[in-house]
Amino acid sequence: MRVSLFRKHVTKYLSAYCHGELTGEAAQQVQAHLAICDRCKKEYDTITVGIKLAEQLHVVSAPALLWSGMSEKLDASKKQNRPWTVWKYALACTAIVFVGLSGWFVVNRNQEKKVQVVAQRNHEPVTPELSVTPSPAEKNNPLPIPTTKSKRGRAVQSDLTWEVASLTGAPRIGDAEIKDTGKLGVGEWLETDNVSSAKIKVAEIGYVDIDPNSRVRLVRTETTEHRISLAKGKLSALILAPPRLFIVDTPSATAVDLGCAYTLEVDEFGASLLHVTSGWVSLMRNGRESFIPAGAVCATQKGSGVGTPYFADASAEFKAALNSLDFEKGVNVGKVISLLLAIARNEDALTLWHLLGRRFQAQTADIRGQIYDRLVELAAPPAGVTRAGILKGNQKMLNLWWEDKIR
Amino acid sequence: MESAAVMIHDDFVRQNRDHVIAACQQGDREAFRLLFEAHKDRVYAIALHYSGNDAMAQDIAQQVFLKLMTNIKQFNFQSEFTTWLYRMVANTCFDEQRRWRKLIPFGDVTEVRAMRTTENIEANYTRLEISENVGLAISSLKPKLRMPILLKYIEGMSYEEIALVLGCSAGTVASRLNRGHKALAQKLGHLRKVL
Repeated sequence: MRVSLFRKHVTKYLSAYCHGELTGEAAQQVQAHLAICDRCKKEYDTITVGIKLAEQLHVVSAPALLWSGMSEKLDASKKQNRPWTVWKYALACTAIVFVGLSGWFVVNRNQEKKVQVVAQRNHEPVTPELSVTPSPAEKNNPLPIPTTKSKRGRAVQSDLTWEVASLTGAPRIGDAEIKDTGKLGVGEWLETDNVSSAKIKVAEIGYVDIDPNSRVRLVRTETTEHRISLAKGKLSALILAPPRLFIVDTPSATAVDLGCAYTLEVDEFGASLLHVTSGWVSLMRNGRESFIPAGAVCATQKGSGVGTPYFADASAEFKAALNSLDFEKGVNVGKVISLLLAIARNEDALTLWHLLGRRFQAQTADIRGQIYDRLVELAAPPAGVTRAGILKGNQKMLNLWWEDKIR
Repeated sequence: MESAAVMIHDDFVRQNRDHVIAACQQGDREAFRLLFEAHKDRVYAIALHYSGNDAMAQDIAQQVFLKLMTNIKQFNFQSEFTTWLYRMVANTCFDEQRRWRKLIPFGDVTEVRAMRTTENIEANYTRLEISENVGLAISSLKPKLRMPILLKYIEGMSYEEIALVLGCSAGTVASRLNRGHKALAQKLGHLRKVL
């Protein structure tokens, strides 16, 4: 690399200088300049730190699953490519049939028109003929003919198994141990003991890692819905798909992916804890729905259902108060709400908004009023949202506030 | 003597690779497996550090090798195979980034992890942790600074080779690497003492 204008600072050539990418003369000029220029020397020190850091990068081993995934796709593309020669003839035949049918249709239509013209000339009524006889296809196929529709159309059964790779130990699908890779079919259970873990490829939309001591069942896999059930243990999901395609049932709630990465843990009593690391997840049970963004957590309990979401970095006091409000019986709701409102930070607007939509056994309007007043301080509502409306539980106003200020 | 030995070794590798590529062009699956095994780790590593995300990296790596298999007949042995391959890697990374930007911004997950791990960094000065932090910091760089750094430090390419892969001048590569190094030093300045 050639360098000119060495009377000026040499900062932009420093990486090339360090990597030996400059010509001998240019390198000497940079060296000479560095000896007299404090500014460039300081920059040089920074660049060398950056280079030393970058040198710590290492080549990581590609996962073993990579080839098997590749191999399947290659087979699939081969299958798609191979029939092309056959399809060429099939297409040609179809074209001939199409041309023939079109010709027949045109001739027939002209005849029909002629009949119509003659009939009109003779002032006779023309009535369409109703066909009551089944088509040849219907005659030969008493069962409905399966059709493939678009992703947005009705559900189409895709490949009914998911690929599973053992990460540690020997996870089991049913009674069979997985040594390397295996297939999880609809209705089958994948189980890990205290030393085993596994990675599941969720159709073509993402991956789920299953921690030790977990039990997961593949409930459904279709182009419009991929559903598993987590009976116990912990999973980490990374889903790259349109919202609401990937669903996890737990004993106490249903987690619906809204395009995200998250971990979901279910304990022996069926209670679950969801922690979202990227995107959004919705938790639902018995008509209550919580929206959990990245960095937030939401607990659920059997019997009580879905709790109120909160950010993971909220204070321990805030979390404890929320937990008692969500899941403890006989708690003094007014007192707990007052405490929550007093210690809420700006970020906790998420929690307060969810509390606004809750029904409390007593004094709902009073409590809602207190929450409203505090939430106004944390995230002022947009035009169209009124105190009276929110106190009445106006869902449209709640949604407007959510979309405009909270989300 | 040493450099002659290296040259002979490089020639041997290149000749063997040419045979393998020629076999791939004939549709030999086993040859493709060899090519895959030879490059999978580097391709995956670049994809991983670029996306900051294992699942995306696997997806990118698979796409690259599928494209490689599909287009290998177009390789005419006139240019370096690695330049051809890594142009495919870079383009796939850029495409995937554009594709997923709306749903999961690249670097999003890694930044969260970076914040968490920096708390413990003073207690654990292991090489692995430094490397992990460097990886995370690189994932959070601007894409145009990220790729030259990965090509330089994962694949060991020269500025000219990086320029060929990215379709820009060697001067641009030098400038982007400079900015990348500075950004890394600023992000991970606290590791300066343990390097």
